[in-house]
Amino acid sequence: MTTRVDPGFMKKVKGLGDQNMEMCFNCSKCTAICPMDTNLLPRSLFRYALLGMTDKIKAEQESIYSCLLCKLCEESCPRGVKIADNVRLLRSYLNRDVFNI
Amino acid sequence: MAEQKLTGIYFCDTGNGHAKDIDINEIKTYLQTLREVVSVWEPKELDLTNFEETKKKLENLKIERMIIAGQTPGVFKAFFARALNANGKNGEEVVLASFKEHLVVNTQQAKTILTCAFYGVSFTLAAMPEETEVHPDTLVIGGGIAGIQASLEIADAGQKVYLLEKTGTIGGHMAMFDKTFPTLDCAACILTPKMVEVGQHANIEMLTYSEVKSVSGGPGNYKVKVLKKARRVNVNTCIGCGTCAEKCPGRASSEFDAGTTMRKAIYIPFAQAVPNKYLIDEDACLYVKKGKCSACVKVCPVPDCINLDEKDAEIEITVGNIIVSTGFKPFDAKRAEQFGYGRFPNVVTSLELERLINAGGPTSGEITFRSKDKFGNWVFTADSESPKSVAIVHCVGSRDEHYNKYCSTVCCMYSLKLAHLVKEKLPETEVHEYYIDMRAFGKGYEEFYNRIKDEGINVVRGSTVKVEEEDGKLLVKSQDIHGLKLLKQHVDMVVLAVGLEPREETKDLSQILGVSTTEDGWFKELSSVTDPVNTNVGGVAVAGVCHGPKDIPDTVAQASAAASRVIQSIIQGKIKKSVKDMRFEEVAAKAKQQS
Amino acid sequence: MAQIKEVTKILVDNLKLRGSVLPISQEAATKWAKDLNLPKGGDTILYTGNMYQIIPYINKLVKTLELFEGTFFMNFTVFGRMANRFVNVSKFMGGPNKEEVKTFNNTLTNMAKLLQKSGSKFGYLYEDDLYAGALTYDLGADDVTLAQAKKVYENLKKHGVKRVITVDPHTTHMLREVYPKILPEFDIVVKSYIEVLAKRGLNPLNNKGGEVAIHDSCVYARHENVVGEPRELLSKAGVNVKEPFESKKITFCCGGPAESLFPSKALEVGKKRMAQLCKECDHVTVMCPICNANLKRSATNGTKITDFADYISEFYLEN
Repeated sequence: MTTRVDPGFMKKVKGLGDQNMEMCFNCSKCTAICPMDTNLLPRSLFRYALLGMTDKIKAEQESIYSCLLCKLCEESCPRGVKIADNVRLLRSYLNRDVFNI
Repeated sequence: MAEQKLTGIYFCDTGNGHAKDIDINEIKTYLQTLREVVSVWEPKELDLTNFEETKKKLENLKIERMIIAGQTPGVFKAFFARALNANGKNGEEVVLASFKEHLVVNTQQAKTILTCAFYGVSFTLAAMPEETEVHPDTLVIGGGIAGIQASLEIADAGQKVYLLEKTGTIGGHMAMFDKTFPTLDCAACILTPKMVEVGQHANIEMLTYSEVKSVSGGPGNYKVKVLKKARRVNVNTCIGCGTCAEKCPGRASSEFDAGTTMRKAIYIPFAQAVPNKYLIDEDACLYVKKGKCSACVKVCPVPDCINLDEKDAEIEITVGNIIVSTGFKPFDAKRAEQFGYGRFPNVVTSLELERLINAGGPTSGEITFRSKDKFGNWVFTADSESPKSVAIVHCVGSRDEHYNKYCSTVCCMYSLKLAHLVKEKLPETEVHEYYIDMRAFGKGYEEFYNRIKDEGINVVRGSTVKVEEEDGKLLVKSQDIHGLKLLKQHVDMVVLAVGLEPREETKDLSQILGVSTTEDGWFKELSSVTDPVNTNVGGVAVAGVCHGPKDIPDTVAQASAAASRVIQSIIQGKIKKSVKDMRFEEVAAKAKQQS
Repeated sequence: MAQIKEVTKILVDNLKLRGSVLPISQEAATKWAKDLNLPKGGDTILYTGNMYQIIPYINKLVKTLELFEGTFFMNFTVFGRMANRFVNVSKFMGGPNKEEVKTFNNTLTNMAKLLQKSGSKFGYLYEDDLYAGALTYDLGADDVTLAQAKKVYENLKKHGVKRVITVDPHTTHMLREVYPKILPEFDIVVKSYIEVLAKRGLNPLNNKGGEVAIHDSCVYARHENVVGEPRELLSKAGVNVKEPFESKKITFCCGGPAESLFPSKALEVGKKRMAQLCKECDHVTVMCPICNANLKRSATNGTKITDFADYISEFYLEN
């Protein structure tokens, strides 16, 4: 399987608002505490975004929209990542560039 | 004096957090008094996104040389070099005045650095403090492995050392450890002979149970007031028989055993303590607290050895050099509530586990569950059951914006060591380790890590977020990053690998001595690259963890380095005064002279 | 997965065309204030943002979606969206539970009475009390949210409003944190009714007490730092406040925010939270209509869920 990456992806996302995904150092506390019990939220999602893996982002719509924005993860995040804001921004991207809303 | 070229100065980052005490206008006024300075710009006055415009500005002013000042001037070097080149000038003529490199915090220091840059003289050469006579005696503050090592080095060189220690015995944290990584040497076997040597050395005078009250004088000749706290037991006559402790009704949690067991109010910190003499904990002694009970005095076989009414005393000593080696305190695991320390009895800290594993510890080396003693205190005893599964959680209190941002450097390695020791004591027990990044950075450390992985220990990449209780077991929640699996591991015992923090007293001591500290509260060295032991105060050196987290080998190396600086000054009979006391005019004059 | 796109579009179109994610009649939205004689507009107003009024309708939608989730019929939401542009599809969902509407209206009335009791003077915007756009903001529909924010702000200015008292956490967050961020000129002071009551030092008429488990709203606890105030009001009335395993700053979400897109996932999370709450007490108080709705859906063994305003009314208001 080949994976296509879009090097300009983060630029697009940054254009939509403030984000700080790159602060993440991959400790996975957020994923472990997420009430939704999914393997993807939110750490891996940010990893895909930072790498510009747009296909993955599109394929993981369900995870992106199932985030409760409850910020429980932000309470545990050792790096002060604004997780809820970042997820919201990915939604903005999907709405605009994929769903054309 | 070398010929000066028309110079422009650019401040690259005024107004950022680091420069808040720097008065840019005062500096500007000063700089404009220098004849060849034709213009001083702040970022808002020079648009660096517009190359042509900036180039033209330099051209109009006939600028031949640029000085860039600020926290990170190097960033702009290429830009100005290009502009100078484009104007037909020499692009090499860009001078950097880095505030960060020289720890500039105020206007005077900024002016000094800029003056040196202006005259093209290295700050270290211009700001060379004068020398003064040095008293041959040395004070070492803190009797852990760093203080012990430094004291022995200096004493072995034939010089007198006062070794001051806050508690009743020297030894520090290292005495509490069971093994050292990565060689798995017995910590006590290395440390206790050194402790005994200190106790017997003709050139070392130990000041245990003492604190530094004040320091006056200057480099080469410090007058130090030392508070000798009342030990209430005569160190010279006590024979260490222990009859007193047997009868003593006062109890307190044992500091040496990291709170895993109780000790009496009259106690000897541990069996190999130096000096191996008893002392009284006034917070637990019934006589001190209520004026009742003198059981220890009644049973003591040595006449007049215990004096319950002894008062604190003060002495003054004169020394030429001071080495600060006050060590650290472990992160208080209760602060990280999510791990349930203090709520679940079998969530333990790494230091507690260290004491459990140690044959001289409360359980004689058995790893057991915490239980309540008959007085209702949570303690560890050998007759309690052993865990069938243990989880070790890395980075507790370290690398976290909520607590300490820095890496405590030792936790990865000691966690691997503890995992090995648990497996050695309880081969049937499962051991899980949860880490963010494995920092096995030293000599033989990576090899040690690989060895541990081969020992059947489940080393998981993925931090633990919380510990819960479920069906009488502890539930550790994390994600396996490599396997992309959510993990909910049930275990019997959770070990928190707590990080290192500056002691509370560090703040007071830094004020007494005038030594600067970092943002995190560690003592600051003069230069991390070229002068890692001296401080901004002449004749005051740092060694060990009080200067920043480090392991035992690094601590010992730094202690020896600090000792060599001290010995160097004693042999020369001279010592440099403090860099921080140098006046701006003094440095500026020297820079002008040297240019 | 087509439903994410389609449901989002329905909600967004609704806000764009009809001023609310789920349009309801003016009469239904303002019914609660009928007997209160609140002046229209003024310096300080009570702003409902229609959250309490909409929730019964959303519940109805959720029930409809639940039937279809993961089935072939879900594909018809595409058709629904196309049609929604021309006719208000939501109208065909059938009416909401009447009992629920009554309870939520009563909650709003209680809030207003509590505020009056505390000496606060305030008005109400009636038909100009617009939805603040929390749902579209959360869904990342930024343009629509901004347009709505502008509309809300103009409206507030038109009525000369300087201070706003909010009734639910989501509207509080939108007006207090989000609006100033997306609308720099926004200068209205926003406080939730719980903060106002606590600050004004409202005293209970009786302290007959009781026992209740408290469920903190994520938005109040983590976004808006409203943690101490509700506890203060409860303990003043002699209530024994039971804290669930995860509470205050680390409160566990009710699952509600996932309701409009993933009803069954929302239910799962809600059940987890209910289990924590049931352990403490069979009576739970909540501060947000979304929490209220989702936890009620998730409650199985007869646990009572009461809105905070209704619960404290027993101690602070004459019946």
